[in-house]
Amino acid sequence: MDSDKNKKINRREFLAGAASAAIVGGAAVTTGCKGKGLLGSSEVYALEFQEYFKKHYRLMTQEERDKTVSRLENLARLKQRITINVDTTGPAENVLYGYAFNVTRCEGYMECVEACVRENNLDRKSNTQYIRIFEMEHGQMSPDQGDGKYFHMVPKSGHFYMGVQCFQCDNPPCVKACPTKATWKEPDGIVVVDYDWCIGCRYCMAACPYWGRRFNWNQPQIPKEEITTQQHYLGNRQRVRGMMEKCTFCIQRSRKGKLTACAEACPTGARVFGNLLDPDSEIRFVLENKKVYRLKEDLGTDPKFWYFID
Amino acid sequence: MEKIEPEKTEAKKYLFLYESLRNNLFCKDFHGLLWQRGKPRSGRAGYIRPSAELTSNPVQSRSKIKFCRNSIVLSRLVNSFNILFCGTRFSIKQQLQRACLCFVILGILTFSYSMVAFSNEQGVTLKIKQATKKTDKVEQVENAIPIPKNIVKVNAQYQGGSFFTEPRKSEIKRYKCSSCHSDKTVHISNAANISHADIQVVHGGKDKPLACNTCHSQEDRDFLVTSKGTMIDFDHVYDMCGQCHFRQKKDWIGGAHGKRVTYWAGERVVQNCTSCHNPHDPLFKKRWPKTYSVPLK
Ligand code: SF4
Ligand code: SF4
Repeated sequence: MDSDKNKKINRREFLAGAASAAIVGGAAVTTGCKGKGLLGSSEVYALEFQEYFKKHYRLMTQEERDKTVSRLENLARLKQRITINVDTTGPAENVLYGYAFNVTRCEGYMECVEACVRENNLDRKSNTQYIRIFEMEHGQMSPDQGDGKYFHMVPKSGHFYMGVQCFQCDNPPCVKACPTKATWKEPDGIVVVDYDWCIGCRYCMAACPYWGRRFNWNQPQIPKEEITTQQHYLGNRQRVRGMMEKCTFCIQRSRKGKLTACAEACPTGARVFGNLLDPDSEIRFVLENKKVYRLKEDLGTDPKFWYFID
Repeated sequence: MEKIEPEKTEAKKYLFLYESLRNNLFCKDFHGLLWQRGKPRSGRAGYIRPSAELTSNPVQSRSKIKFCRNSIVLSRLVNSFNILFCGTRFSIKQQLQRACLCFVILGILTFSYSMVAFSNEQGVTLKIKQATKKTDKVEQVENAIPIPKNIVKVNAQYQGGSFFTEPRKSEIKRYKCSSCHSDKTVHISNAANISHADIQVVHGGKDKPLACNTCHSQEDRDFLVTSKGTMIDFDHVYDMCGQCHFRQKKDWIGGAHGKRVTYWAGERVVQNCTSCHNPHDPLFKKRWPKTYSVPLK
């Protein structure tokens, strides 16, 4: 079994190496006739080819991760002429991220949505958003009944607002649905997608009871100057068409100790983000002192996202 | 019920099976005594209701019903086991044995079910319950988290000890107030610029509107003053607001109101009341949302 695995990987690596060598070689021949412009693109092809044959993120050694990161950074430099910084910071010990949303405080300003779009390099063309704010009448409980596409002066009287995004379920059905194991739950509780391993089957999208996943139907388009260059391999690095993506609690920020972009942008302080395993954290205070509820708790998905009332 | 010999033909055996199943399902004996078959509602075949005699005396009938129900359940259990095991009747002793066995099995099932139910409660809730150990604020993440220079230590303790907040004095453009509010004379031509005529106080409601001196000290203009006469530094304005908004202050200290500055990890630095609220007009204003959402499907 083991030797089998090795064999496969060896074959794969061999193929990758051989093919990229062939392409570089071939390009070297063609440059003779066609000038210097192609040399740059041949480098791109070589990098893209190697990228194509890389392993699943979880199976990579740190060395391999560093290699793919440098390839990605080079590709961004060559193709888009931007300097990005992709990091692979792992989960910290004794940290489990949790989120609480104050439905009394939220005024529906949607600052969080905008901040999220910018932070996570979301497609501007199709207007992809991880967060959805529902305007609900007093007494309504489920966002199914709310209005998710309001556009008028807020807050509207007699209404309250409820933000919905991926809840980073502790028992995530989306992970179970994935046939290629391209999505999984990290030890710090964040459900992530290896974009290069995703085949775009959208099973996970169907399995998620909260509409937490977004699919790239087209090649994402982001103005060059708006690209967030501080990226994470599992987070906001640039996606291509046909990949599933989702909220990662801003993995590139949270793993560095920062608040998520939405929590930082919220002008009313309705969003509380923190470590569930730290008894002193704000989120623990909310869970212990406030009336909290979770959405569709009966499904057993165990979301790490609570709503609370002041 | 007529006695059925075990050595009767197969067909009879099945007939008996059918009969006792029917007895189990509808409990003929008890129906005859206490229950009447109600008119079946559409789509609800076995609907039964208590007989008139029973419903007339609620207290008595309730206990009767309870007793009756328990016996029905018991007899059903025993009978189903009989059927399951061989389809023939047993002696009383055997029946009792079976009943005991039945209860043991039932007990095991209930126990294991409750174990499963309990383990279902695991997940995050249990993880949170078990995490009671204090974490090291500095070591939470690998990254070194810078502590902002311009912060003040709050005169209160949260669950994790002391914490910091954003200062206010550095935000007030013309602080110190006493630089004007003193014996110093001010040239009249400057009066329009340096007066506070631009400030509109929309705070305290229609019944009890606040005046400048409700919060600002008249003796020392560089301080606020509580209703009890305690002088409060502008940086510790939360103590001022907390006089009336004590609930919000409690939540702010704990972490359910307000927000942290940039980092969830490291030293706790939170925004002050005045970081988000204009003290003269503290309510958030109606405005257009920053963006909009397109329909999902
Ligand atoms: S909310 Fe949906 S996408 Fe997020 S972890 Fe749960 S099932 Fe998966
Ligand atoms: S769309 Fe991608 S992440 Fe989702 S189930 Fe399919 S392969 Fe897995």
